[in-house]
Amino acid sequence: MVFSSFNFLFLFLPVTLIGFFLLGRRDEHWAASWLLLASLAFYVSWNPAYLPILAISIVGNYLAYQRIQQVAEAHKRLWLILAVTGNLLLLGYFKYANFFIRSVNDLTGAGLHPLDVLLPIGISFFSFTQIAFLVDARHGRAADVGLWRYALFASYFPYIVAGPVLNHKDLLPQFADRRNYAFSAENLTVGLSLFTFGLAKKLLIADNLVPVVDAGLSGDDPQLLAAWIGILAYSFQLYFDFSGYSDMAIGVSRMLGFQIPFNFDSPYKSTNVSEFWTRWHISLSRFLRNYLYIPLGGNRHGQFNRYRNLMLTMLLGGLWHGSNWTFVIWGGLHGLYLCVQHGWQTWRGEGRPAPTRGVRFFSQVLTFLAVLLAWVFFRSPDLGSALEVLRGLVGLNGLAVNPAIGPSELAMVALGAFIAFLMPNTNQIVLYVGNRFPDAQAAFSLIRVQWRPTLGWALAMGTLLVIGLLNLDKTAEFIYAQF
Amino acid sequence: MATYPRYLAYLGLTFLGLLGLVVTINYQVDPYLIHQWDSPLLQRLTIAQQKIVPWGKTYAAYRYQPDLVFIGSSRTEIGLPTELPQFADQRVLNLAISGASLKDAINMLRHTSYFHRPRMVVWGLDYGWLFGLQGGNSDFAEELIATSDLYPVKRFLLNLKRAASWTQTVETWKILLGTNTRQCLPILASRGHKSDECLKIIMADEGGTAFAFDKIINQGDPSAVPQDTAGTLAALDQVTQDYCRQGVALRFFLSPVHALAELSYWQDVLPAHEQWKRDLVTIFDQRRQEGCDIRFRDFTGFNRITTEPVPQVTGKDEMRYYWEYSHYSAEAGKEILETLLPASPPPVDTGFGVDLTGATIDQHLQNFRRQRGEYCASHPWETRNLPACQRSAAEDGSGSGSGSGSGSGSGSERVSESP
Repeated sequence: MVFSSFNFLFLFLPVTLIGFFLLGRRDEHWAASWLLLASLAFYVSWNPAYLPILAISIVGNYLAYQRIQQVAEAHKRLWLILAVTGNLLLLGYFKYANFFIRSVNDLTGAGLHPLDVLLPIGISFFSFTQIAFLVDARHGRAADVGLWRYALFASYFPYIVAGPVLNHKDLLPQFADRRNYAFSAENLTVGLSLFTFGLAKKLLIADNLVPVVDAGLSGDDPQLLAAWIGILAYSFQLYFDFSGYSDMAIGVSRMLGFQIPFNFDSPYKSTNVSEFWTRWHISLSRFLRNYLYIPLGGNRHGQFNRYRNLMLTMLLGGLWHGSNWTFVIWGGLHGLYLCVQHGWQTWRGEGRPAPTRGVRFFSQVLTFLAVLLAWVFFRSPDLGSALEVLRGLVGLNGLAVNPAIGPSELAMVALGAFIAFLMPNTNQIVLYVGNRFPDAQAAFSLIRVQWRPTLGWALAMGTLLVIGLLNLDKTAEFIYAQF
Repeated sequence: MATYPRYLAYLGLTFLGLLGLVVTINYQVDPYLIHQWDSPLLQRLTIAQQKIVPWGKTYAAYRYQPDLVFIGSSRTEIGLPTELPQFADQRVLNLAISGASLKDAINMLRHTSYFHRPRMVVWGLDYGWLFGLQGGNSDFAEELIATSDLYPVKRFLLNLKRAASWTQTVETWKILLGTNTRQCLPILASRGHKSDECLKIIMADEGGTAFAFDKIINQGDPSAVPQDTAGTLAALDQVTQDYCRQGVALRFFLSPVHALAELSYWQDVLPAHEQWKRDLVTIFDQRRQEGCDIRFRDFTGFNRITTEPVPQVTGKDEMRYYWEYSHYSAEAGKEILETLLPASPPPVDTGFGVDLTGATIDQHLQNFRRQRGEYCASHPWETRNLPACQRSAAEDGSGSGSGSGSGSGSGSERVSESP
């Protein structure tokens, strides 16, 4: 069951909300239990066979958490290593075993048979969320929590399919606060508005870019114009698809009364790759920074180690997305970009005057082009396909445009670009005040739009919701749900 | 500024009001005719290539409750007419749907039987990927199949849900403004049979009959072999058992694709194709021995219908029995029904089709192979690019050069066969 479905919108969500608030008036523990039940039901709706895997993961991690809390300081590390290894083995078996087998076969011709495994939905998200919790528990930074509330945190339905990667510090204190179980018209309103924007981004923009991407990139030997239009369309499709999903997830959670930090903040307005990673998939960036880059040493042990750590972090970040060398190369490219950027900044030194508008514009274009180039690998099913697109981008396959790309397709790409580059994002429109992730800077916007609980906004959002709803029948799968 | 509760009220009213308005209008106009039967809307002209037809047909089955049903793929949908004089006092419905797999056909049969057990089922079978339990018509969702007495309620809700769609809204507007494409009567106006009127328009859009045959003559059109034939045969075995027990008469037939298609589709899998026919015979013979009123007739091969001369040879734009090489016309369909509906095969050779049983299958397959060679030999021009003919010539030593040279315009020979 995806957010953009009739079953979710007209059955699951209303029943969950009504049950939650009715029970919340009586006892917050009942409401939390109801939410846990709803989360498990939501997970089962994807495939009941996945439930035991989720249950094992939750119970196993909770037991490890208890041991870490209970044992002497000298043994905490051992238990953490065991627990993290367990998570990585689970993830490795379901997500990477066949990748490993394929790679061995490719390299040695061993002819090993692939395993008959089905990737459980959201395994990357619930594994990382729990690893972060255990690491913080080891360092005494995690709050005390009981099994049921922990299970709710780990299986919380707004995030479990495609994130954001949750941090216990964001959510567990909110689950513990009984005031959050009371109905709030403000939360419902803000959440609904976010959800509506997310639905519109997914159904009205991202899904309408799918045919342009296919026309531009799916054929053999894409030619210059087709390849450029295709990869541009893909960059906007991916952004509106994933940020739309994140908006819906954050919106649903907000309706319930729990705030999840926002996950996107106009990433294509970034003027360098480092900034891009503070605006794109923010929850994953934060995880990689706090639980991989910094533990590896971060920038604390000299330039070489800093670059090594950057590369390692981004390579593993790429691999997190999927069991394919294309994702590794995508991560490696971003690692390289970050190294080049930091090297450049080190070489230029600090204390230079703020860049001019022209320099900022040039930086933004350069950053976007670098990100665009990396998306070629991110999208391609294999390296051969990626190289074909790269050949197309430099004109080695010819110059023509695919006849399937007409004015309406170009208009869709232009619309995506206009919104991504020049318009305020949903955080700025709906969530800008009071968000719980203050690191991001306010992104540039041609106009300032601020949502308010007015009649005009009610009419606009009601209409947008109806238009979104009318497009539910042709919705495409969320791209990040496959990770 | 409104308060949050007031805002929610405004938003809710806007949402429900607008959605209700759109859904009500779409439901009433019903642009794709998904819930119409005995309705004047069925006289509204529509596009020839109608969309989401399974919706309309499942609804029609529920409302009409036919006694005689035709099921199968597009070949049956296009080929078997429902408006013949002999059907004047019968409730006949063509429930075949384009792209239907065997699973789809079974589901459609179970669906219509839920409301009323038909007296007879005429079932067009196809070899290839359609003979499977996967795939099929993507519009034929499981939710359209009746599984409980609450189906009318469920169906109403499904129809409402379907009305909440942008594409339906656009089509509704076109109808209300009079700017929609109006080409021919909808498929349900002719009780599920895709009419000649619509087919002529579709064929004109596709380039015509000759254009279609150009493809198979110049390139061939090999088809995918079926997957998991054993599983599909088991499902067919089960469904025939179920319906025979209920006293339903069953009439199975193999759709008569044109001889050139026959040669092209299965050029590399003839032994498997033959085995498939034997497997079908085994199932149907078993039912017959159990007392079932069941017949199985093979209209494929090289008979007077399937060897109809192609437009490239006759110089005419159209063919009498074919729209294109894979789809026969209602003219051929009438003959199929005339020979298939009675309890016994015709006493004399009709030159079109053979009833297959354990007693006739061997001879039939032998004839099939022989006639294939004869057809190749007598039609060297049409079959020059078909590897099956080249192999056949090499096998029997007849050589393609010994034919009558229909490429020069002599036409095809009638190759009859005895049951």
